[in-house]
Amino acid sequence: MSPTRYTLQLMKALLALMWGGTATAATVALTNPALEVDPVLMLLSAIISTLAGATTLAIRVNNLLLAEDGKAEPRPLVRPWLFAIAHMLGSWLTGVAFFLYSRSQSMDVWMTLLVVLVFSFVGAKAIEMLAERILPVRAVGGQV
Amino acid sequence: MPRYWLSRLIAACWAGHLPLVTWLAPQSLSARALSESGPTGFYVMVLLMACALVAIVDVAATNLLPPRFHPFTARHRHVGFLAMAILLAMLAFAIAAGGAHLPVLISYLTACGFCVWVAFLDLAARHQQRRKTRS
Repeated sequence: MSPTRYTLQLMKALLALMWGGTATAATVALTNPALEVDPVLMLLSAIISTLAGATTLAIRVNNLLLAEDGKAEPRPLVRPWLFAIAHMLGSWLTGVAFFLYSRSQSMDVWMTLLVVLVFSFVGAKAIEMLAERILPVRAVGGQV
Repeated sequence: MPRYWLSRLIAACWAGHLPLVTWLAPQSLSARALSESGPTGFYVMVLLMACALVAIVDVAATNLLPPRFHPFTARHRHVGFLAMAILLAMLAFAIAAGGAHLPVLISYLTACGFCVWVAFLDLAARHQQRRKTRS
């Protein structure tokens, strides 16, 4: 299986997990009025997860570009859109999941924020570590 | 010419002035909403103002001093601006939890979005500049 295909399969699995979690959360919210999820807080939590994923992505891209800068023929980033989406999906999945968990545990505001932020970084980093094992930096159509 | 120095200065001042206004005007909507979430909100504001101050000093140093005196922040600006964006989003979350005041949320989130834009613009410009220098 090629690295791109492997990463695409990984992202499909993430999307399936997110769909399952979203459907469960919607069902619980509709049938269990005790779990109050403010849509504004949910949106802000998604924004924080996005920022955490973007931060991890920026650090990673910076490190990759710095590694190529010292070479005579620097290699471009391969399929940057795939790289970016993988980071963001990992961050969103863990961020949303732990936001819902913190709401169910009635955590206070700052504990909720800490949980969402930390686990968004962890999710993005986990996907990055999985992706870097199987998606090397190489020129389009060239050898590794 | 230091890359996008005016954008960085505007982003830093914009992000830094929001907690300053909240601090100096305890009767404001954002101050009242933040005070309901406990003292942690004020520590986050202090952290945001510290990040903004470092960004302003970085702009001043890279514009006034020769390159060999440029601070190490020049290589990590994208992290600083994204950290400011995250802190602004966290404050917006705490304000929303304390009683969602839409105008206050819009001002914090707009500043947050601008910081993210400046971070990625700076990152792209830095690497383009290095490639041009090498070629």
